[in-house]
Amino acid sequence: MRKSVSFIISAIISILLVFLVIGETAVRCAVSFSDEKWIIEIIDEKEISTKVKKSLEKNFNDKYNSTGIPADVYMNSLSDEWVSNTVHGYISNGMNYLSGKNDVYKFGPDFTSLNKNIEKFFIEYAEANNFEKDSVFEKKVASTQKNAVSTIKNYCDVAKMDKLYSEGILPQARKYVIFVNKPIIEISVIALLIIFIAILIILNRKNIELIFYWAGSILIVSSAILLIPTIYLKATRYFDAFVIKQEQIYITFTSLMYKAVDTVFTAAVVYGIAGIVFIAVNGIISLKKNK
Amino acid sequence: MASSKKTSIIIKIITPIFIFAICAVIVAILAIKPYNKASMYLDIAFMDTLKTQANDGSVAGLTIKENEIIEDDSLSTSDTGEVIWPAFAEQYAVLKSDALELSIPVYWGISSEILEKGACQQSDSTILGNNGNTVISAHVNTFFSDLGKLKVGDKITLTTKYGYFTYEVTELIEFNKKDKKYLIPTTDSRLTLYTCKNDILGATEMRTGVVCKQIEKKFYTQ
Repeated sequence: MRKSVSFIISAIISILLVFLVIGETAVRCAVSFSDEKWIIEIIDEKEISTKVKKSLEKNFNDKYNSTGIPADVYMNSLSDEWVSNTVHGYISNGMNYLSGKNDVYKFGPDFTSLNKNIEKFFIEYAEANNFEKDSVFEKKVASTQKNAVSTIKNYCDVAKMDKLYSEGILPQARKYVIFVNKPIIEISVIALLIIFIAILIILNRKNIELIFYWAGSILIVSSAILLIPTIYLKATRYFDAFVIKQEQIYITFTSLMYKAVDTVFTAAVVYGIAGIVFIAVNGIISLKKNK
Repeated sequence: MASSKKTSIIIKIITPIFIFAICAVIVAILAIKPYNKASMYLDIAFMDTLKTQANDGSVAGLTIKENEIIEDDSLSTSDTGEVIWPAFAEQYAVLKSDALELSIPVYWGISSEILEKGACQQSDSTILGNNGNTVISAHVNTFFSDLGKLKVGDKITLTTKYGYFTYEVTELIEFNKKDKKYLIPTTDSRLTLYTCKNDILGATEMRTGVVCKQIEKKFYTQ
């Protein structure tokens, strides 16, 4: 086959291989990120559960003037372990549903102790102040319990799994995640990679330096395409601009986004370095041939 | 010989740049739809009362919304009540339907910026809760991408901070953007949802949507 024709075909195959490299990176990232472990690692590293507990305490303290209910009434039932298990529970439940491990999205923390504390407080208050425990009293207790449960759920659900589910986003995203997690998808991408690499090698078998040239070009182009958006997101601190009242949700969200960006960035850097090495090898072999 | 070597080197340098240009353009085109979808998902996920706006009123990339919309079935309601008028560009409702997989934020007023955040109600159309034609539109490639899935008989609920209002689809419509017959005031209480009709070359002059009759009107009493 003429050199120029072989070169053009190799260039076309290289374009396809760039997409396959990017595709395999995307599939691998999606498979890794659909596991709850990476989120829980970040939650623990950033001590999110401790921040949740502190935020709740501040919230209930701030509300004391208007509700008359001391923060201790709520906080005595929220041990460090309970808060941590609840925060982790939301993540695990949400991610298991998202990845298809669970078919049902259902997570309900145990609020028995909280409800009992609130009821006890109201009963003691009513007895101390001779208030009748009528239907109005019962309603007040029930609404206080409901509001407390709602507030605690909102604070502990740091990745907003409940919201994502109720607004239909989690079920929608689930379809894509389950599809990408199918082993056949990654196997197909890798198989195509191998086939096209084999074709490239066969086309350039008489000029071994060109194999390194094409490999290097493919990796450098893939690296550049992945680096541009990741460098932009990192350099502009893009996710920091997202202003959220609750510190723990803000930290969780931004940490998750930056971790995802860092993973892609690292892959891009590895491709870039490997690409440069291959180009260098191509250069060395070409020089030796010309001597 | 030397010049053919030079040519060969130039070709070897230009080829990866050429491959990069082609791949970058294709990736950018392919990324538009997922980017719009991801932005829309984030907008929907963060439309609640736990957010606050940045001091300068705008945030790079992601839009933050603060609203007081109540989505609580257990609150007591009445068939009569007062509407609470929103400010221009305020999110004042959430639109939900079993036929549509996502909840859609609805803003008061219409502009190109607000259309990026959610569906928009024309402020000269009837506010939810009053009698007349409530007209809401959104982009076909984002918030109303599933509008075509609605069929006659499907229920749609709009929830605000003062009540919730349920409608039933009675008619599927298509009209030219210059034709206002579905957008004019009416005496009966109805909801008109519309978006651009898409074809292979992009949005056209035609609009497509649904007309719905009101079947339930509930104002919060608490």
